[in-house]
Amino acid sequence: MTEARANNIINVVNLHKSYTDAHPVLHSISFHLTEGECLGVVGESGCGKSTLARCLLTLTGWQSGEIYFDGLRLSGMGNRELREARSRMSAVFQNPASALNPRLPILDSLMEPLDERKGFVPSFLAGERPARRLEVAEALLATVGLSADALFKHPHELSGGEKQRIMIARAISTEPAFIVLDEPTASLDVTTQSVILNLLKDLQETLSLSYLFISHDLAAVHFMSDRIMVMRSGHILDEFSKSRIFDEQRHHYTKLLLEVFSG
Amino acid sequence: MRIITKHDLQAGRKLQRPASVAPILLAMSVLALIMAAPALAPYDPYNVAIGERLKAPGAGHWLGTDHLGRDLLSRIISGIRTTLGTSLLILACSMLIGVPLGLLSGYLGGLCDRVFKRAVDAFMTLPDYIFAIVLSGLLGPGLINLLSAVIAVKWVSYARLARSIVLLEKQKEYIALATLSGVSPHRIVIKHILPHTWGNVLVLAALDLGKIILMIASLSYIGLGPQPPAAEWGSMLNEGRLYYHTAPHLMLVPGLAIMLTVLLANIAGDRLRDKYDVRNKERA
Repeated sequence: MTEARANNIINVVNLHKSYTDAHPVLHSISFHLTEGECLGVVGESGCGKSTLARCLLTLTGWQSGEIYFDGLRLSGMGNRELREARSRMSAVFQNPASALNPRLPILDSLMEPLDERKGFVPSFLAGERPARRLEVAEALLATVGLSADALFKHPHELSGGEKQRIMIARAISTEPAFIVLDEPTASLDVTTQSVILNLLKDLQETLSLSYLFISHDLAAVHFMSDRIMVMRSGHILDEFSKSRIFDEQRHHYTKLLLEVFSG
Repeated sequence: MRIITKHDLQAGRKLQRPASVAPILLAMSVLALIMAAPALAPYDPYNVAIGERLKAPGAGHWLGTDHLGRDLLSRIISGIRTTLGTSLLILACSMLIGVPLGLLSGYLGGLCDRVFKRAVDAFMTLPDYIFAIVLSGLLGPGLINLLSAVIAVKWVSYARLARSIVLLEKQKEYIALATLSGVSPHRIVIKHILPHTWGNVLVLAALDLGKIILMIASLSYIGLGPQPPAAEWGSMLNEGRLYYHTAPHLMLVPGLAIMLTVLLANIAGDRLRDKYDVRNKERA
């Protein structure tokens, strides 16, 4: 299932993770993600999708197996190396309300990653030549179609869609090589979902981003992903490219999901 | 496009939290009262005048005099500094010890947190008053020893509260994103978690103030607090006990001072709880 290619941004080999000994969450997971690719992950609640994402982002540890990020083994990294690796990853989570500190104005939340990398200006803003922190923040918001007024508001003053756009702007601000999109449209209405998905797709094409797109929504996964991975109870049941989604050889659970998707 | 300056942002922040001004004003008023107490007293609270002893409240001495002829009003005013000042100092020290320990334990987790939790549980099993009396007894009478004994009892609740807030907040995704952005753990605690503790800590402190005043007065009453001739409401109550039948005001005046202060502290605590307690907001 796993190919060891030179242009793999993520390579996962036999990953095993459990919170308690009795209940493993991930069983010998192996897959890869190539540069500029979007890998969709679908599966029922509790199947281990978000735990997998947290492992990839090194936000939680794992018992055995290896994760390679851009050819570097993540386990056993020192603090400085880990910090360096993390600075090239990013994430957009399901609930934007929980992803923004309610006590901080949007400006501070948005600029947090860039504040940690003093003086860094994303290359996609280079044409606009933003010099000051505020100008960079304004340009970032413009990238996701928001006005500068949002910078001085607190999260509770913004809609779910606006908050999620801010999270996307924050996620791309450091020009990461890899972004985890953990159900980024789950808490949004259908119209906003479509706007956000189109925005993510456009940004991926413009900035050559690699996505791990986690969702319950097969339609969204189908729209976003180049390849799709089906998970259940911590196992990868199926993995296929989008063009081969309706092949006869699919796992019966995948067929079940597709039946629901097709209505 | 409107040009937004740093000044706008600061002004916006102030407007977002006008409620934070009230507790600051209240705290400053109390501090001003404590500082100005000696200047407000009409007589020297330690000046003995045997000829004036046990005088009832009247024109010369509004609240009367004690068994050594000292002006009771002046001693009550002087006692504000001892009783209320000591209580606030105890609160501040308890917070300064408890909150960082709770934050650290909750954020680090693992063995450190388990040891801390067991230690805190052990402290919590001991009744406040008994523990404070035993400690004061072991350390001996005196203001500093009284202060240490009450702090040893009180820091635990602040540590528990701070720990519970950390456990709640560190599950949130903005903490994960801050970690991913390379924000160091100590800056995550200071920037993201600490601001969430202030409201709850303030409510607990305001509700605790009355209890601490009562505890200090009780320990002083049984002779474990500041020693004579210090003007402390609990010890004044004890001194007046011997003259209860002939000069009841010697007990009534410090007793009322304690009661009113505790009542005001509790009312202030309730108001703050209504304002900051998340559970109240959820019920509403």
